[in-house]
Amino acid sequence: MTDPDRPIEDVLARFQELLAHSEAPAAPDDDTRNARLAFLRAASVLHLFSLVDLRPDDGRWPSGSAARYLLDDTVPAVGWGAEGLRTLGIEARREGLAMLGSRSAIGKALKANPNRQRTDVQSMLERWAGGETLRPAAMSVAELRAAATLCEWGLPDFLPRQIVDEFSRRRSAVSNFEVLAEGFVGRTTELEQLRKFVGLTPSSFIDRARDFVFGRTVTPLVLFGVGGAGKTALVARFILDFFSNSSAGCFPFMYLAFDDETLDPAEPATIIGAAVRQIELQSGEIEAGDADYQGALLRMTDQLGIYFSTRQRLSGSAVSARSQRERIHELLLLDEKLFVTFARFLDQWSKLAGGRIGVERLPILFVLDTFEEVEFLPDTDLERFWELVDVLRQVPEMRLLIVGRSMPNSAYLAGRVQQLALGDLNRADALELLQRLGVDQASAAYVADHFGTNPLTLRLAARLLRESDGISEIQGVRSQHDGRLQLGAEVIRGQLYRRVLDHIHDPRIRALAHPGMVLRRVTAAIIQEVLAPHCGFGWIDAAESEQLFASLAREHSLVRRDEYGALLYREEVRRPMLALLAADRPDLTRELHRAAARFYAVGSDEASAGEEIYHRLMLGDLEHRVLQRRWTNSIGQRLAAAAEELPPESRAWLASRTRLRLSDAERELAGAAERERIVGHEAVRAFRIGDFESALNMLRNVNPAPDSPLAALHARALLALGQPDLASAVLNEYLATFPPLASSPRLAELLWLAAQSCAQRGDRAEAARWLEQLVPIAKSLPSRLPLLQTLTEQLAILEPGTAGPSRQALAGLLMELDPSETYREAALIRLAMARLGPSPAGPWTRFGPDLAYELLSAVPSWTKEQLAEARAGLASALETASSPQLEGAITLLDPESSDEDTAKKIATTISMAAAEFSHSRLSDDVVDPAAIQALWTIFKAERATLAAATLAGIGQGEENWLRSGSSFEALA
Amino acid sequence: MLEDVEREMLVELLLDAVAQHGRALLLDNMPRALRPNLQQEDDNRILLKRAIEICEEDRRRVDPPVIVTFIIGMRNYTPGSEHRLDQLARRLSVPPPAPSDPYMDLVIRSDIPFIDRNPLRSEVRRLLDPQTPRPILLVNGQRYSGKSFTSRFIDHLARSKALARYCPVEIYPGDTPTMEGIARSMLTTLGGAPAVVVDPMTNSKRGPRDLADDVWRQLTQKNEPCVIIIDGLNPRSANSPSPPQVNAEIADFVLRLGSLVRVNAHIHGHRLLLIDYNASDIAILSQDLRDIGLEEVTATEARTELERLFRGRGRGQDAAQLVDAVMDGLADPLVDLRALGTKCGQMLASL
Repeated sequence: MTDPDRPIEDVLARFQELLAHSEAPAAPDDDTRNARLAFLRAASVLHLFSLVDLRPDDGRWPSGSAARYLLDDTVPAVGWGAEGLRTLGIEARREGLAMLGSRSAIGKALKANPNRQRTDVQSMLERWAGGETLRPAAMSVAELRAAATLCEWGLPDFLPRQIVDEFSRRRSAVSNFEVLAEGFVGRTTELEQLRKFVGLTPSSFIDRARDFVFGRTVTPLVLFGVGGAGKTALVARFILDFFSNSSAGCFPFMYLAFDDETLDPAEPATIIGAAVRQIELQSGEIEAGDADYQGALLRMTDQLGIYFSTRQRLSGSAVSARSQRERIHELLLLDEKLFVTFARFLDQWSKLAGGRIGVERLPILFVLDTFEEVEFLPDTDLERFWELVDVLRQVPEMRLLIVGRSMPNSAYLAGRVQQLALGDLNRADALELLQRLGVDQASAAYVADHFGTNPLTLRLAARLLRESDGISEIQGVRSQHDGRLQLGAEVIRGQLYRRVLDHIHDPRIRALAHPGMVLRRVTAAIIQEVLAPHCGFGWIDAAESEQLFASLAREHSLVRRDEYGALLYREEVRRPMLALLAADRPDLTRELHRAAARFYAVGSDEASAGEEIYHRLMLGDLEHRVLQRRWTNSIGQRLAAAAEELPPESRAWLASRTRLRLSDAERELAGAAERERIVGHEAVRAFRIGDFESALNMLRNVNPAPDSPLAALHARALLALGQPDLASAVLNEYLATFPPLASSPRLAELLWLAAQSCAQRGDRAEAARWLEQLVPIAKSLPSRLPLLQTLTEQLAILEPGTAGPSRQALAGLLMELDPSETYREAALIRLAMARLGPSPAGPWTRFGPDLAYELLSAVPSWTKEQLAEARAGLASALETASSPQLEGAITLLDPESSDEDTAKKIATTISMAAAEFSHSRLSDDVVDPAAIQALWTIFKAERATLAAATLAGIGQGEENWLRSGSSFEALA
Repeated sequence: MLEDVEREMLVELLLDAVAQHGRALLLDNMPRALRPNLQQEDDNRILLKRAIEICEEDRRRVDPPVIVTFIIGMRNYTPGSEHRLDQLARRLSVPPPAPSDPYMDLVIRSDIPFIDRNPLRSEVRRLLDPQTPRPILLVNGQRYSGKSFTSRFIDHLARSKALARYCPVEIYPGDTPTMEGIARSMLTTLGGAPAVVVDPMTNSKRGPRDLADDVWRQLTQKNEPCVIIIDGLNPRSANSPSPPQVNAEIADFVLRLGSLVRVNAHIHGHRLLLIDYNASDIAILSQDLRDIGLEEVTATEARTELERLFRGRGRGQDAAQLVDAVMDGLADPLVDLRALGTKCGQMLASL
């Protein structure tokens, strides 16, 4: 027990006693030592073990007592806590194995514990101990990982680590392709074309990689073909063919598919981030040992970090930029620097790979798959992406392979790419595929002749043949198509799938799939309330619906689970079925859509909202009030994949909420509100890429209403183009005609921009008048940030003699501000406090430390002038410090330091000043005024302004469509 | 209260005694009032865990705590492990810190100091704010810089009711984590079935995604925000003392989990805390994460904090002497915060 009156001598004596005890625990006696060793030898040959079950390798110590001797040598094994399994720490493992010494001794030691946990590592150890010759070339990824673990253990005469790592690296890089290329046949011409594209001569493919035909700059290749043609399988086969030839040098490659939700083509940094991650994971010892490569990698990862942190800063209202144009210019420079760093990194990678086989560089293959997802986006979204492609094309030996369903319809690519169209298989290859899939020769010939040679169709036909008694069933499908052989592959597949479904034994599961596939998502409740009544089951209870749900879940070829446990029909099955259902049973299809929409209308979660919107859109029910109420930006992601299913009017509606490309005809179908939103998206994207002229043209053409978000964008485009007079004129007009009952946030934004345009014209008095009008509007908004920003700007615009009330109001506002608002707009709050000054102390005590800590990461990127200002200001502030720690901090501020040192020391000083607030808070003391002065100095040195800002905090009260996507800097 | 690691250690040390003497031994060492709570179990490990849990949960606030008397009673049946059990009992005898602002506490367990680290406290507070715009936090720093104290800090916050629940996965040096193992650990902690099956035919992109979705489903079973912590996968860097434990599957799994946390942050309020993790593996989510690098603590900073700590324990008069004793022999700056932690804990136990 703590006793505050215990004499200090007693406390120190007790402390010394405990210290001595922990530093020099009693030396174990011989028995204890020997017991530990006996358990250690036994444990060292077990990957995982339970201490209570562990038997020593001799019988002198009872099993069950291992914990007493071995606990400190073990660590819990992740994932095996429930079973109480542990593993040995690496030093103990090596000690134990070293005692055993030989492969045969290790084999013998295994016998002490026959009930071993079967893990990959354990199996690999036992195969080796049993005398098997291990061949890394024949190992799976999991086996290679197990082998790498055994290398760590230091087994005698085990495989060399370098070899295991090299195979592991190669195998990991391509393991994903093994599934994708399964059953691949033919395509010899296309494979040859790919080889030529990469620069492999036929002989080099077989023999050595040094015969690459180097091309320096090679035009990107677009590989395109309809769904199911086998595009990804072709790429996978090509890469596997090369990598399976272990004597060849590996050409480096990256493979990204745009159906990955983390990739956003509009923001190429996401592509670069994913590519770098892939390269890092492929890196082995050679990369680790190459200083140039490591340097390039470090620059690359540093640049990525700087990129994202700078973007976070640029997304705030208060920044150092003096105009929107300047803010976006900084962003574009950041993009460019990132692209160039990435290009240089790739070049270094290419050189390193070349060095391995004695050539200057090896080609780098960069595959961008599922490009049709990119094609959904409008051109303004893709400008940065094509900019990245342009930079990558300058990388010597870069081979960019774009894979999609059709030739991209981009002006950028016109005349700048090679094309490789992937059609159906030739007849011979089709027959081979069918035969590999177990179809006899005659049936194969029949299928190829009657259903075409699309690989996906062939696989489906083969499956149907396997599941039926003969060819008669498949002939039945054919007979429905007599004279209609021109039908699309998708319809044929739909027919085939329908037949496949007929083979589901339980008729009710069959019905859940057909016509139930009108729905995208199934739960037990949906079965009970939506599907059962429409699929002819009548009323069923909850238990029965649960049972049906569980049965459907077992049909893995039809469904997969989503993150909430619901079943999603697989797209490749559902898409063709849906087309058929809509054509064959239109009434039932519509009724199911209606029932599903009704079902989801009462759900409050996002999945329900998304599905309700989906079913309404499928019905063409564009009831704006309902759709708008249910919409959130993340629903856009849920619905993007369904865009192709929607009728044109619904597509136009969806496009107005997301970033979907529309044809001119579809655009015509959009209502006025939708068209306005579509223009809004494109204008914001034009802002993001610095194309303010285009933005202005788009906005002028729609002639925005005063209470439309486009009105503010219109004025901002003019301000960004350096036309404050024109901006003032249009804003005056918008404000003069602003409807009295329209949205307050819209009005607030226009007033703010009116003040900004006057300030840019040098008319401070007029700017002050607009701000004065803004104050009561800002007060009425739900967030405190608009008012805070207005008052902050008043302190800069008003003459010091007249700013008193604003100052007082700002100080009061800071005391009632919700801390969470500081997380979104930290720089704005710092600017407010910088303009407010060090008095009163209240806001500093409340927010000073957290805002200062938030600033620490930005200090290293400050300019020389900022650092000098901060250093001098801090030195001056700390001269009056009364707290000993702050007094000491002044010694850190040596004027002779380098910029890097200065930044580091300034950051330390900021931390110390901020810590002073915590100390005083805990001890109920008054904060040392020097600490407030120090933070004030630093906040001023940040040099933020609001000259490039729109009004913060108005997003909560407005439609959220404008904030979709990631163009935060354009909106800030 | 026991930490997870201590609880596991205690189970290992006592399990053999329970195997030999059965439930009667556990009952003998529990207060009479609590005995009816311990039902018979076939599995000794489960039985023992339940007994420890009952002793820990005792709300009667007796002195010494029930868990301490339980450990002291059991020590007689664990020859060779007495020293370790004594240490544990001693630690548990130190009363926990008085309730205050849990984010500012200097002692986050009965004897573990959490000194300085104000920027980290600020980041954790920000992470746990329901309105935070960035629901992922990455904590990196040099070896022994106290990164893993972040987990303990989260544990401390949970005990102080500042957050509802958390799900820690700690990877220790020597272990060879797999994606399935990490998922299994999470599922077990979250109360789900620990069986983790990845279809071998699933391609290596789909597998991590499906497993992360499994974990997410379990996570969302309860309508309470949860902090998922993954500690010890080690970044790939030239100066990293330990080999990286991340393979492509684990990285994809973590990324998918991060994406789910990000997209659903405003709905479920779950958070992801990555300690010792490669920043570029999660760079794609950078718009939604904050990262913090822990710097070394100077001796001056440590002294100031320790003085405050000892003053808070009623030792205002001789705090400086106590600090001198703790800091004696430690480097400046402190390169190994574990040493400071151990000595500080011993001093607290001596007060």
